[in-house]
Amino acid sequence: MKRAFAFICAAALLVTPAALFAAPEGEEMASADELTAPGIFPIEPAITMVAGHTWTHDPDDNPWVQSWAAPTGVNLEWVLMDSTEKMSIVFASDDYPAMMFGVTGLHKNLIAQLLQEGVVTDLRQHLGKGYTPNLDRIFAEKPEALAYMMNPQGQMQALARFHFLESNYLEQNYMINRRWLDALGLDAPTTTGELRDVLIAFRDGDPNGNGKADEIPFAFVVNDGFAQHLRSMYGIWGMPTKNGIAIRDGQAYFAPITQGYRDLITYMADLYSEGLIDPESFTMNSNDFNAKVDDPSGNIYGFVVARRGFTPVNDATVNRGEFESIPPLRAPGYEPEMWVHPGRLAIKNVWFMTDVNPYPEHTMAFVDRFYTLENSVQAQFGFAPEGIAQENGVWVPQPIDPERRAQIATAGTFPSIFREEDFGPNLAMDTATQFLYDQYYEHYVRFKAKEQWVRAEFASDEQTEANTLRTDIEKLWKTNQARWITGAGDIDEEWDDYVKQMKNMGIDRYVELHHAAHSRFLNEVGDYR
Amino acid sequence: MVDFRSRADRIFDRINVALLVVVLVATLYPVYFVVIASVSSPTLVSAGHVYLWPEGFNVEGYTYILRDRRIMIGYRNSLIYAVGQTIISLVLTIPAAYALSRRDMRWRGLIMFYFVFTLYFTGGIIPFYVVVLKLGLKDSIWSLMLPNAVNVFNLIIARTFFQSNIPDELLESAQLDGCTNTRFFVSIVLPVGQAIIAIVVLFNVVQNWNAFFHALLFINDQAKYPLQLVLRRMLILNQLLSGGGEGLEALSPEEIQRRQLLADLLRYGTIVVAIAPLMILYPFIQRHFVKGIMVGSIKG
Repeated sequence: MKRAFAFICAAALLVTPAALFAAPEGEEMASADELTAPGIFPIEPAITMVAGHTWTHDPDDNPWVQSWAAPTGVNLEWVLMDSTEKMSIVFASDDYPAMMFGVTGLHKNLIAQLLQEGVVTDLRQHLGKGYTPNLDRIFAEKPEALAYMMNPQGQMQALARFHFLESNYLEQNYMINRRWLDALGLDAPTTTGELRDVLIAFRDGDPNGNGKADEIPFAFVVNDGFAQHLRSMYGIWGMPTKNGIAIRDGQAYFAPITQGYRDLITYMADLYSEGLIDPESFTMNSNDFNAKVDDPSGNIYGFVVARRGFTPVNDATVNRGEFESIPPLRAPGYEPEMWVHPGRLAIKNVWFMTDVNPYPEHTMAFVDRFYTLENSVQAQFGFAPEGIAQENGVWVPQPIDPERRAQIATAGTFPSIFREEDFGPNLAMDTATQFLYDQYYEHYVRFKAKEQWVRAEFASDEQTEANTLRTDIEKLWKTNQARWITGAGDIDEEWDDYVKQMKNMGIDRYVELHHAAHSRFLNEVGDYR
Repeated sequence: MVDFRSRADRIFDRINVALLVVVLVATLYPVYFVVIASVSSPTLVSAGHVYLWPEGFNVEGYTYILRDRRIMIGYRNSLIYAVGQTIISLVLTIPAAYALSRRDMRWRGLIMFYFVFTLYFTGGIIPFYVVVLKLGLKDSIWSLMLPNAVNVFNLIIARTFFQSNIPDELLESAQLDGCTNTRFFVSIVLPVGQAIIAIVVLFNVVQNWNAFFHALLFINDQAKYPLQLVLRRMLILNQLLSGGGEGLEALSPEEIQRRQLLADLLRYGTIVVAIAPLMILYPFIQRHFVKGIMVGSIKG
C-alpha cells in the first residue's frame, strides 16, 4: 500500500508536462481568397476576428457595436485587455487578437516595440489605396495630423481619434474667486503685480466674512502627472510648455534654465514668503485639490490655476461656480504665450492591427467606416437615439445619467472624427465643451504660442536616450523649483550652480533630441501654428 | 481578592498592556477608518476631516456597489473558486504531506527536493500563461483552480506537522493490529491533523479570495469574473486618470470629475465588500490557527 502511495505521488508529478502535448489547436480561419474585393460590404461569407478592447463596458452589451456586423459581414469576438501586464503577456505568448480597440497612450511604447518586431502592422501602407476614403480625406484636409502620427521611419503604428476643436486642448485656465473680489470691491487683476495686491487683500480682508484669517489666496497642484497647474504659470512668462521644452525661432530650448523661469520662480517665492500660497500645493494631488475646492464649508481658494478650468457639475461642486476665468496676466517684460495640448492634432493609439489578421485590407475598410460623424458621435455619447439623437439634422447629446453613458459610450478611445466646422451646424456642443469654447475664444486664443513643441515622435533609440536623460533632469528641475519657491533655497545664489548641473546632466543633448524630432515634424508639414 | 503579583510584575504587566493597546489600535484603526470612510462623504475624506466618526454620512457607495448585479455574480464566482480550489488543494496537499512525512517512503528526499525547487525557481509568467493556454484552460474556471493547486509552502507546513505529531510508534502499533495505510490515514492522521487542515483551508481561501491576476489573464467571459476582478474594474477603470496617459484630453472635464468622484466614493466601500466574508470566516478558524502554524513551522 505504501508503494502505491509513492507511485501516485510520483505519477502526479509527471502529469503536468505530459498534458502539454495534448494541446488543442486554435481554430482555422477561412481562407482570404473566398472574399469579395476590398471596400465592398457586406463581405460574403462573413468573417470573424478576435478584437481586443479596453473599455469600461462589455461591447456585447452595446447595441451600436452589435449593429456593425450586419452591413459589413465582419463579426468581432471581444477580448478584454485592460491591463498593461495582460497586454505584455498575451503578446509575448503569441496569443494576441487580430486588432485592438481603445488602447491609450499608456501602451504606446509597447505598440512601438511590437511594430519593430513586425507584430503590429504598419498602417501607412494601407492609406491612399482607395479602401480608406474617410481617413484619406482627413489626412488631405490636415496633413499635420498625418505627420504627427508617423514615426521617424514613416510608419504608423496605430490609428487615432481626431477631435479638432482646439478649445478642448487648452491646458491652463486662470480662475479667480468672483465672490471674494466682490466682497472686497476689487477688480480682477490683469498683471502679476495686481495679482499680488489682490492676493494680499484676500489674505487680510476676510473676504469670506467669517471673521477669521483662514483664507488661502492661491493654490495649485504640481504633484500629479495629469494636472500640472504650476507649469501653466510658465505661460505668463512667455514659456508655453508642459515638459519644459518650448520652441522659439524654430529652435527648441529648455525653459527651466532661462531668465523667464528665473523671474517666474522669484515672483512665486515672493508670494510664498508672504503666505499667499497654500503650502500643500507641493504635496497634494488633484483629488485633494478638488476636495478643498468643493469643501462644503465654502472656505475655498481665491485664485487657482486649473487644467481646463472647472464648472459646477452637481450639488457637491457648487463652489466652483464662484470662480471665473481671467486672461493670462501680464508679467513685466514678457508676452504671455499659452501652450495648447498637441492632442488637437490627433489622440494617438486608439486602434491597431496585428500580423495575425488574415484580412488587413478588409479590416482597414471596416475601421475606416467609423471616421464619419454619424459613427463618431455614437462612439462618444452612446448609441442613437439613447445617447445622442438627431434633431432637425443636428446631433444633440441626450441628457442621460453619466453612469448609463459610461455603459454605452467609449469615452474617447475610439477611431472617430470631430471637425471644428461640425460643431454648431451638425453637432450641438455639450455644456462642458461649450464652456471651454467660450473661455478659449474670449480670453486665451490670442495668446496662443506662435511656435509649439508638439510632442513629435522620437525614433526608438532617441526615445531611450531621452528617457534616460529626463529622469535626472526632471528631478533636478522639480526639486529646486519647490525648494526655491518655498524658501528652502535661494535661487539667486544657486542659479549658476543649477544651470551648470543641468549642463552636466546633458541638457544640451536632451534639447537636441527634441529639436531633431521637432524639425522632422516641421519638414513634413512646412509650417505649424 | 489578593494580588500575588510583585510590584515589578505589576509594572511589567502595565507596560505590557499599554504596549499591546498601542499595537491593537495601530492594527485596528486602519480597518476602522476604512469602514467609517466608506460611509462618509468622499469630499470630506479627501479633505482630511474624517478621523473618528463618519462625517457627512451616506451610503451612496454601497448603493452603487450593491446595485450592480455583477457584484453578486462576482461573490458567487469567488465562492465557487475559493471552495473548489480549497477542496482540490486539500485532496492533493494533505495526502502528499503525510506521505512525505513518512520516513519509510522511497525517493522521499528527491521528491521533496523537486517540490522545494519550484519554491525557488519558477518558469515565469509567460511560460505559465502558455501552459494554461495549451492545456485549453483559457476562459475556463479550471484556469483559476488547477494551477497552484498544491502550494509547496502549505505542503511543507503540513508535512512538518505530521512528522512531529504522529510518532512512528503509533503507526507501528496500528500496523501490529493489522491496520492498513489507508485506514491509518483516514482514522488517525486526518483526525489528528484537524488543526493543520484548518490552516491549509484558511491559507487557500484567503489566497483565492484575494487573487485577481490569474482571472485577469485568463478569464474573458464577464459572467466568470471573481469578485476581486469585478471590483477592480469598477474602481480602476473609474480612475484611469491617475495613469496620466494620452487620450485623457478626449474626456470632458465633467466626465473626468465624475470618474474622480466615483472612484473616491467607491474606494473604501469596495474594500469593505471584499474583506467582509473573510472577516466573518476568520474567527471560526482562528483558534486552530496559532496552534497549527506554530507546530508546523518551528520544527523543521
